[in-house]
Amino acid sequence: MKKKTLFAIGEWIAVALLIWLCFHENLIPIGGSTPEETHRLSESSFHYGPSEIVRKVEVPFDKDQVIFLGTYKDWFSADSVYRKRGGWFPGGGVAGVEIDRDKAFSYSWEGNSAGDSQIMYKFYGYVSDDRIATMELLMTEKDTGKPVQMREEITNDRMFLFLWKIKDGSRDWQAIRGLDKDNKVIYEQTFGT
Amino acid sequence: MRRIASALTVLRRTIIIFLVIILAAYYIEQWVDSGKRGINDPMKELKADGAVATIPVGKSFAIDNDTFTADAVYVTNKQIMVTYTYRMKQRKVSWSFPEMSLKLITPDGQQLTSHSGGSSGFSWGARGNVSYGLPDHPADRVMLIYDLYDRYGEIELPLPKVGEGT
Repeated sequence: MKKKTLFAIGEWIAVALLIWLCFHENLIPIGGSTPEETHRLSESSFHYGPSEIVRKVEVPFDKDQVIFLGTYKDWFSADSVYRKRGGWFPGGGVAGVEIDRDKAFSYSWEGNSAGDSQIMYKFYGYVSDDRIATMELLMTEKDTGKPVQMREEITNDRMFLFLWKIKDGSRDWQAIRGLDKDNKVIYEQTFGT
Repeated sequence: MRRIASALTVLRRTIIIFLVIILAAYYIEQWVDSGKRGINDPMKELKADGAVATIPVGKSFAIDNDTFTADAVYVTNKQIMVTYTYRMKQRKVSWSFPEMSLKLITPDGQQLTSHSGGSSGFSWGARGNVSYGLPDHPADRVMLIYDLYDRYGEIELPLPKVGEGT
């Protein structure tokens, strides 16, 4: 082979090595190749879990977001992972929230900007009381005063997740309630608005 | 053919120079700023308080596959600062070390309040610092504790006599 060609090949190998080094030093963050991998890596880096994934939720109004509902010892979490530039990256909710066994259910929430003065809310929790068959989240539209009710039936995984995307500040939260199979309120937490 | 070959050579060499500059900048920053632990210069902050007592520590504990090392303790008449190095195994999809959740507990059981911290992150981990208020009563040592979820680690930090008229 000609010397020039050998040099050229050598230099292309150098290019490949340098690009590899950029990835290795995280100068070009690549993220995980699947939502599951990113969720697992996010938890291990956070020194939490590994949690038992009880439900994987593909967010209906955001195809680039997946939420993993899970439990780990005395904690529950709803970990969001996001797809960007072809890879999956960690988001909020990886931090486990303590299950308060003295209460019928434990909950947490998160609101993230979804562009254009819109906020995407994630309201989630774990139901400790076996009598609770349905979880209900009550809100009202600020401008019309109309009530907004979100309901979820509790299954074996004992967790609930409410997702909604609205204009920032357009709703007031009233209460989160746990109802038994006869629709009787077992436990309610009101929000002071 | 020859024109394509020389165009490729120019492209190839431009890419190499570009990548070398980026990587060189990254490595030089790590080497030169090895004292850097965040946005503010911690030593400058400490010297502003007056006299600084320095005690090297160099003790570590593991958190899963990662290692936390308390490098040194600095004490002034206003604060106790702990500098640390955090080395992580996992390079991608990583969270920064939760330094503000580190607790400092005195032998008589007082938990000191952490009021500020800073860190510089790298692909392998971070170097940072956390500052705490002084204890109510003089103490010759303090326990640095990491206690999150079911992970736990502790290091005993020696202190010069602090708390009263240092």
